[in-house]
Amino acid sequence: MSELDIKDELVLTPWQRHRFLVMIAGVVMVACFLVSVALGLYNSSGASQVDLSRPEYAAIRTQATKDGNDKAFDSTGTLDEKAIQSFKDLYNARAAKVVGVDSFDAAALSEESLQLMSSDTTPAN
Amino acid sequence: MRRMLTSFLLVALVFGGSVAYAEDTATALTDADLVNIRANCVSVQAALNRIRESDTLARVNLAQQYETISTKLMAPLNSRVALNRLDGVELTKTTVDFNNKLDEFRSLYLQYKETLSRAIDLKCTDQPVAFYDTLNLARTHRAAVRDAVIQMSGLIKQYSGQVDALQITVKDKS
Repeated sequence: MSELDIKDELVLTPWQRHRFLVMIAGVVMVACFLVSVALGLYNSSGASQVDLSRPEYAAIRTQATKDGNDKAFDSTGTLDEKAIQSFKDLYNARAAKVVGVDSFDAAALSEESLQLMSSDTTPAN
Repeated sequence: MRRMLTSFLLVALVFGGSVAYAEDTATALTDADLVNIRANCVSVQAALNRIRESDTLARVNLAQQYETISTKLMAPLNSRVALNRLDGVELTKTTVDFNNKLDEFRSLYLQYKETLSRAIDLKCTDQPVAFYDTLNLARTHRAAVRDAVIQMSGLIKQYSGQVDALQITVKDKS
């Protein structure tokens, strides 16, 4: 093998010379893409709305109801009067927690409550 | 000449857009109103922040109950009704309506929360009109969320009534 042949073998293409850097850049780009997809899903699915680990929810974290009773109704078996009664007990207990609860009342954002246009600078609530 | 024309078009686009935005959202506010908004808005923003926190809590607790009702109670009962070859069409229909309304509730709440957050983050002393309009929009969005909650309560009661009817059917059969 002549000296010229050896030199030819050692000459690397730009791709071969930078392939490690290109690989690292590629991995970082793929990771950024996947993270952006994950964040998009996190926001669009509504999970961000109920994620109490977010710093802005620190104050209410302890107040959120920790629901220990996650008993489900059995989806198999005969459906007699007793089974329906047992369903009704479970259902009514859940329903009582949401039906008739005064959530998102308009009064909270009303002018009377906020007094934005008042010449007195102290808001009511 | 061409450069001047391009610059003019660019300026017209930028300011034209602003003017169009201002016209869309402009509210008939007097100078005295603007003075009051500027004076009160920072404390109102603090109040809005507290409202956002309590709304988040309500949203978390309500969604938890709604999801339990849908996945752990309604869906299993519907399956059991079908397995026992009973008529569960109305129950299933109510469950579908309930799930659709739950999705609507989630998106309406998101819309409301974004509007409220925008009102909280606005530099209201500099932009009193924008703050006033955003607050009004938040009121509208909050009303929509409340409507969704009321409709969901209605569907929960409707399902309960249908279960009562099912109980009578089962009782008559046995």
